[in-house]
Amino acid sequence: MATAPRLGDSPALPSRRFALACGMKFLPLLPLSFALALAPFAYGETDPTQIAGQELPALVTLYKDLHAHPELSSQEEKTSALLAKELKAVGCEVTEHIGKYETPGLTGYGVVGVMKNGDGPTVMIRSEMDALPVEEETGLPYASKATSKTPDSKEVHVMHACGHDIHMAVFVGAARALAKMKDQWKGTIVFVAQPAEETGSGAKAMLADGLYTRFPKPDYAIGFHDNAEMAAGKIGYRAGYACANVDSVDVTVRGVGGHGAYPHKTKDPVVLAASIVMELQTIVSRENNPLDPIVITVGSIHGGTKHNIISDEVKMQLTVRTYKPDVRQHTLDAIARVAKGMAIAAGFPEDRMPIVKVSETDFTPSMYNNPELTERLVQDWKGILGDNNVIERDPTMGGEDFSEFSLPDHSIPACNFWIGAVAPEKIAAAEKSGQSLPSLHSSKFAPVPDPTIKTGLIGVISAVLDLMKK
Amino acid sequence: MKFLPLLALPCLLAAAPSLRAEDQSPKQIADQELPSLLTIYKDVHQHPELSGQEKQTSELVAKELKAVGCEVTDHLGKYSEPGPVGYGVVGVMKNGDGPVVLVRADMDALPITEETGLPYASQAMSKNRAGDDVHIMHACGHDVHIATFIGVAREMAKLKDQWQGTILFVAQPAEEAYGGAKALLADGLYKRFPKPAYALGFHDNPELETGHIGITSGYTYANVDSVDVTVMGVGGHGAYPHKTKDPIVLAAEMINLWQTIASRQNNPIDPIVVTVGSIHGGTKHNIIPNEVKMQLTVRTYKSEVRERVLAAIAQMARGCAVAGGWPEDKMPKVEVLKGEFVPATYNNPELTTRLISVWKEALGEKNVEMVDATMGAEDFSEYSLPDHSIPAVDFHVGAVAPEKIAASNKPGASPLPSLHSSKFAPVPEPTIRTGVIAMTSAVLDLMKK
Repeated sequence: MATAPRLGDSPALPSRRFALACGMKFLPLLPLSFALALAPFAYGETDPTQIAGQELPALVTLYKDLHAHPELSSQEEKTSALLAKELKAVGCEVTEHIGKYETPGLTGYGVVGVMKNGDGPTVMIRSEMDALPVEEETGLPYASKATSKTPDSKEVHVMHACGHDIHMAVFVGAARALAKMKDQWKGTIVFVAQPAEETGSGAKAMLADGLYTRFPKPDYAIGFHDNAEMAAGKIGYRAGYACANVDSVDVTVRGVGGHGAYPHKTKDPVVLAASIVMELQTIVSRENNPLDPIVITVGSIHGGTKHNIISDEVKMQLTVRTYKPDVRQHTLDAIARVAKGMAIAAGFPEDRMPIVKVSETDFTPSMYNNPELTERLVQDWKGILGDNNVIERDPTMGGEDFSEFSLPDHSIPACNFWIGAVAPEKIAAAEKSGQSLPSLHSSKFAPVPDPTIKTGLIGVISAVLDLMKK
Repeated sequence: MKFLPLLALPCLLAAAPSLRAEDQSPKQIADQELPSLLTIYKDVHQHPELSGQEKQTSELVAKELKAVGCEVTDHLGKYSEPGPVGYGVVGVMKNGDGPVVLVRADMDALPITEETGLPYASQAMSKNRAGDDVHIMHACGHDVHIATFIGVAREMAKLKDQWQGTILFVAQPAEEAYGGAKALLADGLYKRFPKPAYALGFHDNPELETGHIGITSGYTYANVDSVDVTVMGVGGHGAYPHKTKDPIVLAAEMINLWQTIASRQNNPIDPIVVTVGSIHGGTKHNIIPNEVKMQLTVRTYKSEVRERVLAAIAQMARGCAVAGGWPEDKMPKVEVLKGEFVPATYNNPELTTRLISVWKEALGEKNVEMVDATMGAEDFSEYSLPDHSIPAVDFHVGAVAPEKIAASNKPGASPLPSLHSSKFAPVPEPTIRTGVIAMTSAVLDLMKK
């Protein structure tokens, strides 16, 4: 699409700014001339780039405030109150304290703001609110100094090391902008501020608390995430599977302990655990269709107390990543089979077989970006940001509970896109030096606020305006 | 014994040696001393002390050795680490010119809660090295050793007309930890006191019936090495294995490869054990850690086999890392803990053969059994010196009632409690009696006039 003239907030287009400032009354005049060339958009004077530029200064202030006051998963009390206030301020019907966790004792700090604007589709926009137990090392003037207690009462530093603060600034910006642009869309927007994304439990908790029964059920769900490898100003996307099924598996390898000098009188669970770890590798290399990505990581292994005692037990904690449901099932079955098989091979007694437990509650489904929806939004974004700034990215084996909002059968078309968060010169420097950039969850992760928030805002507003256009 | 002289006269010519008090047999003296030794045993059993804390036990032993005429030195032992106190006791019993023979018993107990249900079971508690309160029990039978040791000292004092030379009674602390034998040698055991021509030790055995002794010729306990292996990696998110070097998979690879040291590299005739007793790495499911730590115990007999096995562990660790594409600065660290090494116990074959005849004479042919060597450890080996230049023998004393052994051999029966079991309960009288007779007869033979 020939969209170059509409890129950015070029000083060559002063009339549009003026139009916006004047309450958009000239809008009907301009779209006519652009309509054919720039379909599907017809914002006229108030295009998303202009709007984002206007909102930006206030959003950066909001961002820095959120960044300096992070809260851990399921503790998002102040953050959720702030978002509720912001959503109310732009005319949403706001409901707070949404979220029923499977773990008892946790408070649901989810917030839903419903913005109604006549008949039309329902579109959900989601942001997460929680931060991480990481001690910030960015050296930024607005760096977090916050501390809090974890569920097991450990005092920890807290940091928005995953950029959920960026997400919230974009989210609030979108609410403000779309409230001002009600003449350009129709239908209902459900703004969902989700707690506890990092623990993989917040989306599930909100659905369990009636997100889709107490509030309008969306026709589309839109989410976004800042990206620690992409240049600010760019949007990344992936049609189809983008994030993985996440399963947590606990393996208890039992043995018959004894003295380290008498191995023949024992069944050594350390050696069996080692055999299991190696045999698990062949699930990936020999059993799985190479075209279906999977990961089996043994993240933790613990057994024994000292050199010369053969212990009774070794405990292992695995994370298992897959995309397709049938691949997931095969992989989980294979893990249990491998564990038992290695124990049989080593002659372990029937009552000392390994115990393999797949955690039901820790499961996060894979994120499937509806291909038609994604393709449609990609065209929208390319139209505004230019082809070069909208990049197809590889899927990842990371997890993201945004997938929950699409429902297990993917019946609600959803798209979660990436927002570049790194200064381009930093990417160039990293490529030159060979050193890697701070990743998400790194204590040094410091997104560039202005262009990141602005690009995110453009991405969300343009998506909503297209999906809900009059 | 005051009527003895009267009775002896008519028999003097026919049975001269046996009728004088000092000419009693080791067996007879053992039977006389047994009630007193049993009292000592129960007292020691009820008052166990941890390694490096053997204050009361060493005082008791010192008192008993003085009572039989030994020159006694206490508070012996220089440990290589801070914490344990040197509570070693040496009693020198001199009896003219002749060979020097070392007789050793160990004094320390274990941090175990006794579950024998015996009337004299231990209820003692103490603080362990970490400062935690722990129950203590003589679960390795060192209490039997102490009672036997005192019995031997009393016998040898009474039998002075039958032997000549010097006996070095060594009550050793910290056999279970810290290296008590090493600490005594470091404190000048062989410089401040006569250096022995022979060294004798013994251990109660939880599988051998009472009244029997067991013996192995040649290697009987193993070289013990403790090895710490730190497997380094490059940690990261569990979903992105390709951006990491996973130390858990590398550790698993090593453990598997180490099995081939025993199965493929080692001469099958040379027994070895490589046990990974402990493996710890990582904090949760989805984080690939930076490090895994493993603790190994390595058991061998011959010193060249020991060298090869230790070298193979390090070489395989490195080889696995190279195969996994590890960077040079993340190669695994393999550390053999020098301070924890216990050498193999080697029973001098000539001395063993000699003592077997002595014991068969003293206890009867069928009561002397050849037993298998074990890969367990015993720091008695230190007294023989690294080059085995001091001929030494460490023998087993049966501690289990024969009917219990028979019961344990029935199908489905539970095994006998092992050494270090909270249920280990040697039968005191016959165990101590057999130990006293065996040790006394051995010393008498080596020092006979």
